[in-house]
Amino acid sequence: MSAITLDHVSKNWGPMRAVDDVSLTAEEGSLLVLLGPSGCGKSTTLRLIAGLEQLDGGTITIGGTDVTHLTPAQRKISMVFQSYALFPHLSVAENIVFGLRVRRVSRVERDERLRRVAEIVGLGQLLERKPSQLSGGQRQRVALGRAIIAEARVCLMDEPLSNLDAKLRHEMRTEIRALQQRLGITMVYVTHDQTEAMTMADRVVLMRDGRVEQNGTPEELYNRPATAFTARFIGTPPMNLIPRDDRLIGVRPEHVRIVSQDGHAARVKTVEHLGADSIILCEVEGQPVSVRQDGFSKAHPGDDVRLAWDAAHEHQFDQKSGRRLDSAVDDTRRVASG
Amino acid sequence: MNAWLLLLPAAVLLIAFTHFPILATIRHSFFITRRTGAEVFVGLDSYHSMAADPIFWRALVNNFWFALGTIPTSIALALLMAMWVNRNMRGRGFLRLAFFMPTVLPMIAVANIWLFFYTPDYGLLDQLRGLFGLAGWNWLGDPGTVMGCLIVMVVWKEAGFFMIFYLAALQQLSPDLEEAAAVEGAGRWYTFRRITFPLLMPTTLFVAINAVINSFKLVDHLVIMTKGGPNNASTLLLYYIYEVAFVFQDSAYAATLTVVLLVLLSGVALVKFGYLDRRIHYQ
Repeated sequence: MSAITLDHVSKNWGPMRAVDDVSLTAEEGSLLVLLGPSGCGKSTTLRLIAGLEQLDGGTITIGGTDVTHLTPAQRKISMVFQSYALFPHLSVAENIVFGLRVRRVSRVERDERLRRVAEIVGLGQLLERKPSQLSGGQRQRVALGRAIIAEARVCLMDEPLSNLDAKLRHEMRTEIRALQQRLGITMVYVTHDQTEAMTMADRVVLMRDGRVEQNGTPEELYNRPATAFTARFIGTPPMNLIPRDDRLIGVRPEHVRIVSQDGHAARVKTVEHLGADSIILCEVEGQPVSVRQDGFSKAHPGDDVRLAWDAAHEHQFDQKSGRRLDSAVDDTRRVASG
Repeated sequence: MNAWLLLLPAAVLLIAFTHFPILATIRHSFFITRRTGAEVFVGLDSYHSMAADPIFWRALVNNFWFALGTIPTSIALALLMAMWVNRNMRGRGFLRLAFFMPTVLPMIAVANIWLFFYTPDYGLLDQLRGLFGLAGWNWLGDPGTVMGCLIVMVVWKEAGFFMIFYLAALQQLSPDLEEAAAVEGAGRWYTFRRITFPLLMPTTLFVAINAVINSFKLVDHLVIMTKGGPNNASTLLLYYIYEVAFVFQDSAYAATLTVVLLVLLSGVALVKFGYLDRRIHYQ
């Protein structure tokens, strides 16, 4: 009983609509990622769920209970802040059991739960330290420990990995996801990093200017972007979008091939070697088109090449509204399942 | 060598205007100066006569009560005002300015304003008493009320000044911490007691040290308002030193009293650096 539902939720900052009529559901025990560029309203949405901001319209329910007007504490949630929000004057142990102390949990039980949580997040040796004596990754673990010791069914995370270096981020990503699944927590996770969204989420909600742009599984967002914005946001490098008449033709870089004849004439601008594959940035009729090739590409900047792709891999969007035009539905389905 | 050269400007000033005068004062307290200008070594004589001087003890006891009356009150009030004007609200800038105003005013002007408040019969306080049909009261002329009057004035003056430090410290605190505490279910008072106040401790200590020093430093208001009277009821240590040195022209005895003041203040500094600093969390 911990599914989270937002029903037509709005929040205004003066004349600006930070969150504009957002409806979504995070299933019990699932991980929902709120994804989007900075300023899209994803953090505000999370703070609305947490009860740290008051909403201007709509309702929020957690586990079937209307929590719209409850305080953060009454919502029985835990939260990890982007800054971790560790109490700098308290030791790691005191930080983790802070909430238990507030709720006057007995000393014996506190110690027992602390021991268990310290083991889960791997902080057993560091309990007496102050946050300032910890590395970024260790601080992150303390914040995680503080979030899970309450055994709340709902955990909210606000860009928890954005202060870590790339290697640690990868590690923590896996750990958080494993923890979430093991403890069966319903998690709402805010990030601007599509890799985190794609790798961790059961469901991704892509936001833009306070509205939901697309709500779907990572696979749906990648294989069947509902708008040109989604197509551009998901994937590294993102989908190529080539204007043709009143439409935008979208093709993923891995679906574009360099061919010896036919196809579109193109000129190679730059080549990025990533090791396992290479990204070749070309120009077709003044439009940039990137191509992903396995291995070490032989192409050189300045080369004249020809590009081709299967019609089945084409996505079509309306040039004006950016909405998907569904002529390619069946083809895409086939690609997705194949 | 270069390091010492860089220290030189500060060192010269400190030695010339702080360390040397301290040593000279201590030395001077063991001598008396004859009318001819000759210095005669008298050892601890001045200290013996100080121990037997009832006005010295009176000043010390007065100072103790004065410190006790001003320090906790002004700090608590400063913290309260800072928390209040730290919130988002209309007229915040005006309130901050109003609280800080007493600090900006010249001390002599402050003393004169309060002198008017306390004036018997037509002063502000007595006019208010008059509304309730009470007779006039000589606030500063009564040994029972004079100290209270001074304490109220000093608290009024200091609290606004200390508030600025608290306000700066409060704005340094990340709002995330309060939110994290709120999510964990901590109420406002609990959050203040376990999070905000401990994190403000460096400021509290700084402010407290300043308050202690100020409570021993008060002279100007006394000169304007009471001259230590009536019957030495408002004589504080530094005012007594001033009187001995520049009214009674007894520089040797003034030096002896100054040594006592120095010992008291160094004691305070020692407690701060030796004990309190180690127990307080600095960011």
